[in-house]
Amino acid sequence: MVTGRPICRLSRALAGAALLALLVAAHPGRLRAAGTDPTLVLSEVDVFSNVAGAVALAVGGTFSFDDLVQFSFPAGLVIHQGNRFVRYGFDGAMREGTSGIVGDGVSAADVPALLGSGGAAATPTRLVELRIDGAVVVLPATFGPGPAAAVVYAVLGGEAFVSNTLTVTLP
Amino acid sequence: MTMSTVARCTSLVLAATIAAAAARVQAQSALPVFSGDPIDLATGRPHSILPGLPLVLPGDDEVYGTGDDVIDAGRIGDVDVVVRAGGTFTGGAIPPPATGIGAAPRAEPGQAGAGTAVPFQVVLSDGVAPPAAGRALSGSQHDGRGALVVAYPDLDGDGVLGPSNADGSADNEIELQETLTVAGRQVAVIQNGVAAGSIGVSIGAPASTGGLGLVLVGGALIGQTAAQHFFDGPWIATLLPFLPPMDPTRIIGRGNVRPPNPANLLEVDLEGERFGHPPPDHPVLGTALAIPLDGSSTTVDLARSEAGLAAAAKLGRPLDPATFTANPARRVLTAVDQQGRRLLVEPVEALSLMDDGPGSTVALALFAADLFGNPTDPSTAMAASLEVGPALVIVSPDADGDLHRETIALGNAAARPIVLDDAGGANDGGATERIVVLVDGLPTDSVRTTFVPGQGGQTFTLQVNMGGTGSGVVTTTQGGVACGTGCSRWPAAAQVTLTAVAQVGSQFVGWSGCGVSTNPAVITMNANRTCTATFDLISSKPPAELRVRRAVLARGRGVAKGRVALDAVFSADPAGFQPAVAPVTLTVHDGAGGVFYSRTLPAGSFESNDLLTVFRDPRGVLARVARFVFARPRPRRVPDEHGVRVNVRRVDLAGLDRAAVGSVVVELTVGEVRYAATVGCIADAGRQTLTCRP
Repeated sequence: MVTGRPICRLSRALAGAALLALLVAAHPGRLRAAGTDPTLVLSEVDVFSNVAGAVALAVGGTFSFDDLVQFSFPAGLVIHQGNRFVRYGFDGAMREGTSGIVGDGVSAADVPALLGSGGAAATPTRLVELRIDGAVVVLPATFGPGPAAAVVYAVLGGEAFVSNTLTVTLP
Repeated sequence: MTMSTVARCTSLVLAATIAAAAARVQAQSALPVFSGDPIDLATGRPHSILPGLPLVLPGDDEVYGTGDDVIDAGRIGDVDVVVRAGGTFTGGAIPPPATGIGAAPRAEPGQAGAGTAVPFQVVLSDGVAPPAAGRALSGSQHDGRGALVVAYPDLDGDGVLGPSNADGSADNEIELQETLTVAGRQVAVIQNGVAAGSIGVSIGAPASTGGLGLVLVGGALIGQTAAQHFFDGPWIATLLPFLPPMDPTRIIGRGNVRPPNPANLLEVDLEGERFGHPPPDHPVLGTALAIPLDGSSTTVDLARSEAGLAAAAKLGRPLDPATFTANPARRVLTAVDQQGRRLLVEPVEALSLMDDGPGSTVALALFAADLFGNPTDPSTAMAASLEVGPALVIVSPDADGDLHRETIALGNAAARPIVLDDAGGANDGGATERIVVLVDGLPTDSVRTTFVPGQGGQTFTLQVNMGGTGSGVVTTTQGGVACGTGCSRWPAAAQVTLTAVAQVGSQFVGWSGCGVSTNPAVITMNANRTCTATFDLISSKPPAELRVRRAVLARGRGVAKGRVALDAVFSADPAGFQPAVAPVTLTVHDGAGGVFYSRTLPAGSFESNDLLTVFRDPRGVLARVARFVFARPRPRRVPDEHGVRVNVRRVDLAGLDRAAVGSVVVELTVGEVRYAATVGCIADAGRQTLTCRP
């Protein structure tokens, strides 16, 4: 039985697709796809030290390494313990200090202020390795035994992003 | 809807489709860059043929190497696009490439990003037959379109990128690994027929060895739409070390929704299983895809990458090319041995030692490394120290009689052989020790070492067999012991971790015979054990693809919002399965094989919403609930293709009071066909995040 006006489903589908295409074209800024957000994921953190007590952290994860190699955008690793933090920019810049910003963890909103905080990191702080699936850093001597946390950040197109946070107990 | 209405609608759509196809054919044919290229009447787009090679179509399954491949030797690809390194081309006849890496541009410290960089130009060519490169096509027809350049390394230094039997077939896997290792990839925007840019490189070899030879290949996406979406094809390419998928969106992901821009994030898949890697003894293609680094392949160019300043000392595991198995996840470093020969090593983070005292040992290589972990030339005064725990000894070198600490001068790039053993007699079984590498007194690398219970007691054999239509290998993490297709003997109670790694074109299906279901699998040697690893060819009959598309859930208030998207795309199988008329079952397991969730959608109801518990912390608390959606996949590209998309949209983290790590195995069963993918997830309640990745 047929009631009402006949419907051409295919034509309606095509019209819908065309409308969608128009909406996409008219508002490209609304699209938030994989090509616009950096991938920031920490999956593991390992700590090791020498007999003299210098402590290194090895973090594993993904952080848009392939893009970072191609063009410069602020990104790096932050380790914090209480209000003390050290930031290893993947461009080689390292800063350390204390700030209430990190006391309750690092969120994306904290990143701009964090980038302006701290002073030049002192020896033995070092970015040892940066690879597609992780990084190795040497911590400042001011970090003591106990829990600490690691988070990766990036700033792209004026917007800040942070990874999940992993915790580790320092020796 | 009446039959007449159906007929009218159908005829209207059919007429519109034919008209659109005809318009596409006309439009594409009018583009000079496609002059002389055969047009696929089904799509209205030019066929993608690599220069100098015959037309190769992967068939309906879009997978090369299966029975439905089509090779048309009567159609040979011309030159549509050329890549040149150095950035000196100014127009007219395209110059020849470098004749060897000694004459190739050297990657210099990059201005824009990390690592080193090589200037490049992607030049549209007038379509001559190789080996000529042709003349540049100028004009504004393609202004704003995107070009992609990829650098691949000649890892083994044999002067050829990709598998070749010229030096024997024993090292074909390491040569295949070269085509799976991306030293860098960058986009550029075409203006007046040329796209110029600079490609960042993160892989290199010590400068004292001449550096690492790179081959720069490329392609351009020549679309027709006004929106200039980067994925808009068709595409043209230089010679590549593989047969690319016919659909450019298999390389340039549809997540790249903006116009091409070298300063945008780029989603690419350069390890796709739909890439073709014909063996060097292929009767038609032969070694046509092996690219010599001597300038004879005129559409590509060469570059030389030297490792950076020494930033650390690292340990690696020397690789034997004869037993190596290519895999995109593996990372191969190019070191040099003390005789000046290239030495391929693999980063090592953990290893196992037999707790048997003087006996079985582990051989590693110590080398100076740059910031990216590449072996490099050290400063002349560089020395590295090894510190090992009391249950480990450094067998060699031993200059001072101290078995637990050794300082080794690294005066040149040569990797130093290191031999380690367990201390013996200390009953180390089950203990964990570390090897720490120091430079300037600071730790720069570490290897975790686990001891396998020693000999003297009962031992058992572990037999590893291979099954299925595909191929792969099984490795262990214990001291570099590899079980190819054989067996090994282990002390009683030893826990052996087996990892199945499928070769390109195959997939690991599962274990049988030894009561394990995860990969890697831990086998407890309390009896003689036999494990069979089954690998199947990736094929459309039935094809099996279930993979994580997007797997990051962002922070939210009390919940983590985002998406874990898994796509299963499959075609009608020989039995005539159609997903709309067959039941579909989705099962989610935890890493130990426990079932979180299982639901069968009855035939004919292909879309559903449901609540799904996707994660369980190690204590077994079920606290997180997600909504998932069965939905139809992207528009069908071939008539028989169907699929399922599983979207986990919302995860409630309330009740999770600490960070937890786990994995889920998503299994999709359609009739008798099973698809599975493993997703590792990390939940962090404090940050209210759940992140998962394949």
